[in-house]
Amino acid sequence: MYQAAGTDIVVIGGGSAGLCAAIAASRKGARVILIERSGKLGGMGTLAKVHTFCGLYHPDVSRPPEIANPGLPAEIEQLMRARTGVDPVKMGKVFVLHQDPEIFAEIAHDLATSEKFLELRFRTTCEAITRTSEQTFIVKTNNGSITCTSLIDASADAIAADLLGATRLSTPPEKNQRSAFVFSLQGIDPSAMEENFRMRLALEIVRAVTAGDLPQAALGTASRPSTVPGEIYFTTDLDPAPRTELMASGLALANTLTEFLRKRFPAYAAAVGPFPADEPGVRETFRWKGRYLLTEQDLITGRQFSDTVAYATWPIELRETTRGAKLRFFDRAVPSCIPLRSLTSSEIEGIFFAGRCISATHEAIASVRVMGTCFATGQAAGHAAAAYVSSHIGEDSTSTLAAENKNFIDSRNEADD
Amino acid sequence: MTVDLPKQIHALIDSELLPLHESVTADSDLHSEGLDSLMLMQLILVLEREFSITISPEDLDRENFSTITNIASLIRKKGATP
Repeated sequence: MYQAAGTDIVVIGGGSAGLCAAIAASRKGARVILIERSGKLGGMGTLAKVHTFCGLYHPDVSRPPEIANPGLPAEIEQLMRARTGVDPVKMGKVFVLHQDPEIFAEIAHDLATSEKFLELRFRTTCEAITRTSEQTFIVKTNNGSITCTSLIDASADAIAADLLGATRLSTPPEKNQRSAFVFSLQGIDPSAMEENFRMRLALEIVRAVTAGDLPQAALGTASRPSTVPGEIYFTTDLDPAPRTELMASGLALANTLTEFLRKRFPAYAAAVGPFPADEPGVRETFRWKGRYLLTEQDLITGRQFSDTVAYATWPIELRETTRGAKLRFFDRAVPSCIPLRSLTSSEIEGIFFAGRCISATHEAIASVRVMGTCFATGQAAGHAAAAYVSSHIGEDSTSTLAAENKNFIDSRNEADD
Repeated sequence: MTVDLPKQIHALIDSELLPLHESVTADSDLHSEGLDSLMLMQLILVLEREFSITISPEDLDRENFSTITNIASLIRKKGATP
């Protein structure tokens, strides 16, 4: 008979992926503990003020926006639209949904706290993980140890791989995706929201850098109106550095830019702020090496898998140089497939991964790392972990979990790989 | 001025900003090919560097950058030296 562990599943990380993993698993009847190092849910979408949900919509922009992944991605999209009153917009060749980080934190909190099988532990970090002979994991945290049957790594940095001694993949620093730092200013004149004004502002920033009035780091600064009237977000591009240094240089740049804008543009004269993000927006660190390594080619050519569990829709968005993003779109305007094998380890049974640390190449991560896709891989990992737990429990009240998960996966099958 | 200006612009966009589909012609709408307002600034920097021109704030009109043909005529107007 199965002996109750501390819990069925521990989810590491409460960002877009971990949030959806924890909710999806608990909705399948699994007991879940989510540990989050900060004081709120939402990850980059709240802590780093990443104010756009990318990867939510079908890539065919000739049709009205349509959610690519059913379930939690659709639910979160609906909740956000209801709260902000903002509809998806077309940016170039993709649809995106502008979101409000504070509202996202509330939505995430409300969703998570309405799950009766889900327990949240904030300000909790993972210190060690051991795999016992009884096929359970012991997760040692700064807030005590938890024994669990299954583990979901949604840490974005493949923390569990590191702690368990499994293979972690990374990219040489010079090729790593660059980080961003976001801050907002409020009390801005409405004229500054216009696209032409923002383009002129971007050009003025470039000219000021050339003239030596702004630091080199100000190049690549983008502005975008928030969903709140009078507020504009600025996204700046940072040189690679350790996280604490990224934060310091981001804050310094936010102050310099704010000063510059107040002086140069009457529309910014009364600007209030800067309101900086709590953390830099990190795009790439470490990832798992799973049963399958998802590649750029798989996404570009729309390769089909027999174990597809989520869909990617965002182009390969490489930000390796100071010149900004370089986009590579899929060959056909259809969602590309992410197989369950990219969310499972070939080295350790019972562990699943989601979000930015799934098993994918540097180029493939440049597509699947966006929040809309993280919701989807999180949900898939949650379902898979719940099925794994139920198969270990055997004839238990939750034994329908495996069948349900199989149905979930079957319903997504398109063709064999 | 070289007659291959549109071809040069096509190659610059393709290599530096946005891989262009074979179907993209000089009159295709670049915005619907994925050129967004953030990339536009990168494009301007590339054009200024390659053609030794200076784009002024008044030139910052979406229309001026909507097709390769339009970009070429803007560059010609600016008296580019290739």
